[in-house]
Amino acid sequence: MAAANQSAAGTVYMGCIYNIVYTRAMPELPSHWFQILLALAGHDLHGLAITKDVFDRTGGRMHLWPGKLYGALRKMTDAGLVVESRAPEDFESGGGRPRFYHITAFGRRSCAAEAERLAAFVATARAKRLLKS
Amino acid sequence: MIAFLYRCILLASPRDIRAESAAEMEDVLRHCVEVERARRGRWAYPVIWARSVGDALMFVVDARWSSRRTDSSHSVQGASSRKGSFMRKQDIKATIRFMRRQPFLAGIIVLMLGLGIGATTAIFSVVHGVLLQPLPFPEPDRLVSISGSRPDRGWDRVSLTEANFWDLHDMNHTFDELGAWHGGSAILTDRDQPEQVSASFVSSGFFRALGVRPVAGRLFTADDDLAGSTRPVLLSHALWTRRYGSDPGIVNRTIMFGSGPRLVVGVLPAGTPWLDSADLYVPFVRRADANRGSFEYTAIGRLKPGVTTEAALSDLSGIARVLAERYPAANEGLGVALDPSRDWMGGPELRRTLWVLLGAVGLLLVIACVNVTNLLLARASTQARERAVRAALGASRADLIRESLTESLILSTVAAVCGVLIAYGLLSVMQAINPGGIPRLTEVRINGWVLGFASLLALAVGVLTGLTPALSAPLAHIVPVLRQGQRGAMGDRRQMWLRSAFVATEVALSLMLLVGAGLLVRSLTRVLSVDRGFETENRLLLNVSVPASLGEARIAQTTKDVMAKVEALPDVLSAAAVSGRPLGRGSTGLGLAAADQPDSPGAPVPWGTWRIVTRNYFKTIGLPILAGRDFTSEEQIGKPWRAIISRRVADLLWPGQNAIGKTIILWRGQGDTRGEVVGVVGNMRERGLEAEPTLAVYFPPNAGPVSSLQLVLHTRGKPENAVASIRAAVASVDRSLPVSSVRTLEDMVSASVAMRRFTMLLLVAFAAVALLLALAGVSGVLAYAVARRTGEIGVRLALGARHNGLLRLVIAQGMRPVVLGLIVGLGGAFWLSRTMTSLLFGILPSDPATYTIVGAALAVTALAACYMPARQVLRVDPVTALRAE
Repeated sequence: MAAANQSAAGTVYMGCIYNIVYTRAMPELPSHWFQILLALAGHDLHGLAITKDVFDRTGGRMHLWPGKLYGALRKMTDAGLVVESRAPEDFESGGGRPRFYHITAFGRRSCAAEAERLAAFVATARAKRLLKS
Repeated sequence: MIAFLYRCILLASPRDIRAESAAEMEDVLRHCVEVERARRGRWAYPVIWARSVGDALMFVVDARWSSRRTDSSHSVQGASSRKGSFMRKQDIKATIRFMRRQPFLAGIIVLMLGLGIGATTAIFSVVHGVLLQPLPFPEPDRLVSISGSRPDRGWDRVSLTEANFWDLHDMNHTFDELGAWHGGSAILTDRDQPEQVSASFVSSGFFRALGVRPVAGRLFTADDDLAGSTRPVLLSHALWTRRYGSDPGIVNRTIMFGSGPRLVVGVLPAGTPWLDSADLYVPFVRRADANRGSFEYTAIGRLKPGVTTEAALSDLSGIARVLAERYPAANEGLGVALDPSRDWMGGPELRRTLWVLLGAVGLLLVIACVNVTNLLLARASTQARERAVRAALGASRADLIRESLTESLILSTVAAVCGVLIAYGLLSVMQAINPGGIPRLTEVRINGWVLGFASLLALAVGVLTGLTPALSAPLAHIVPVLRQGQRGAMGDRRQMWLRSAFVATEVALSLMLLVGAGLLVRSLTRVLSVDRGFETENRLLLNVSVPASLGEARIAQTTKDVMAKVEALPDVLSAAAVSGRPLGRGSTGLGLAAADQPDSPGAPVPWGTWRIVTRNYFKTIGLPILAGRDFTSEEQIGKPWRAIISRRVADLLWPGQNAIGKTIILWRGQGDTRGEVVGVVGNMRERGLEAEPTLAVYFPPNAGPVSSLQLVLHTRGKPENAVASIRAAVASVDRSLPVSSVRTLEDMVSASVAMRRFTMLLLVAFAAVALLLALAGVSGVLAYAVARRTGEIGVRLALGARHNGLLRLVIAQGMRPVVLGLIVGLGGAFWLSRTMTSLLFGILPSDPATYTIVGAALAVTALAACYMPARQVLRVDPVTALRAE
């Protein structure tokens, strides 16, 4: 198992997952992973709703196209950051039954750690008077 | 279409991952496309295409990578799964095997696709390089050109006068910089052989507005707008390279002109437009008494940041109204028009031409794809049994589709490589022919954008040509295929129907192309056969420049001597001088009226052109004198005012009357000079064969000096043979007089229609290739049908059918899709040709003759194409055919 994981350590993502799972350190999250976790922090959402949420919250700067979104969700599920969940009872679909995603406790911790890391940068910028306090 | 392409690319991802998310991904894709469309407007589509293809490819690569990881971890238990892998080694090997075993078929496929991709890529490279490539100036969005307008005379663009330019320059609030440009020429005398070069006058703001940086030295400064002692000059990059060997030391050196010395202050970078439009630039000095009557200047401006074109237009229009009140005589009715810099590269006509050509090659590519799909379909049906066996052994439909896609993608990639080579060739041919009407054509390159476009084409072509044969494989009927053997599969009616539909499509598309080409051919013949009013046979035009430094008296004497010497040559039948060449750009205009007719207030003043001509001009250029007389050699302009008018002027001012001796009002509204009409000559298409004859007025020459003598000669034999003796005659008067712009009138006429001829040639070539492809399609499908029906034909023959009857039957079968294609194609051509209206001359887009000729020609050639395979029927021997059963 360890050998298999070591062979995967060559890629950024896999290396990142390796760290998360085995060292429990909280490394940097790719920015779109962070945004997806932020979107899921409030409610369980399906893919389309995540894209819309991220797009609105970032003022259109981050636009998750389907390949990027579902690629990330698959890997985040593997890493234990999110899990698939049942659709809420009151959910009315226009057709089909999309999968919902739920943030795990580990996902929450990773997201919070990332937010703190970013907050530290903001604090530095403020100390250097780049931002108005 | 985007969703379809997205889905096709996703096919390459592992099946389990795809099955999980494909439907949801489509919902998200739809949302993303809507958002992009809403926020990007007209530029949305390229972005949407690029992002969807990139996104899908990234997803596939990512998914494959992670599934391979899973596979390798599973392989510990020895359970390797190959399901879902795209471009498997064995598929690639199978394709290479096919190319080796059937090199002819593979070659034909690659050639057809290569031609389609190559032609499309070549035309796209021109469209990209000429229309889409940004201009070589910083922030080109802020650049506009400024012209005047005379709505009352129906002119939406006129040049500016010198005074109006300075007024706009001083009074506007919306421009950072405003510069003016005016063409001219100069004689360089710093070498033994004097050389005439083009020299433009520019105000100092001109290059500042463009935002260019000099290669060496400096640009003009505001001080250069004032007459000073330095007399600076800026060299163009082309002249600097050609004449001064790119020597940076030329800056701050003085070079000699016919008009005196000038100081080189800088060298400009190369670039189109403006920077390469003249050999050198001299400052256009601001004068207190700037001219208000002569419309000669082109202006450009750089808008202040954040200012819109509309705001600038309303600012300048306000100034125009103020000027109209201040100078009613000169500025009444004069408006302003702005053109954004993206319109500098060619007018609407060029844009239309290039888009029509791109559309035409697009059609050609579709025809090539349809043809290849047809070939692959035929091949797939011969492999039906093999596929059925594999399906029975457990191969899934996806496996077969993947195999077929691998094959078509490899073929289309090879074709794209050939296509790029073909595009290189086609582009260099186009650049060699360069008709002169396409700006920046010489700068067009096969660059990253073009290669990216070719790769996208290859991908789309590969998917399109591969999917149909794969999807039409009769997997649902494995048992009958296996039972009946190969022939059962070949008999699949659905596939035959599909192939006939493809043939009909090809015929329809190639008919549209042929009609387009036919309309252009007819237009060109119309243009060339139009009554131009002048003769071109054995007519020569040339320019003799007389340096201003000679002084007035010597200039006058020199021009007289040159005329006399040239006229006396035995090779020359007659010679004359004119102030502006026919078919040349730009013209001098004036308002006209008849003195003996009452003014109708409010009616537009007819606007004519004027030229100064010497005695014998009309005889030399072959323009008949219809009434009255030619000028005498003693007559001078304005002493008194006498004019010869063209027949159109006479018919307009004095319809049905004799115009000789009547008084004509010249420069109506701009001085109202009165003159006597002494002659009426024929009409002449001076502005080009496609423009209506002008309302022309001719005056005798000025007694004063003329610095540039435009000679028109009627030679005894071929005009080219007389050039040497003419040069010698000019040199015998003064060795330092440069003779330039030597052209036969025949050449000039030919050059004036070069762009039209070029478009026509390209479209004819594309249409011819399309026709060949379509005929190959017609013939191929019928040959296949005949082969399929050999047994049936054998039975019919055995039962007493005659060969001729069978031949008719087979040909009728082959012609059915052709006739259908013809009907659809005629409708399509009728609809499409309307987009070409502005490219046509003298015919309607619905020209019945073109449609009839093209339709009939296509029908006849298709019949011939059907006859060849149908002849096989005659060779069928009933015994052999039945035995084969």
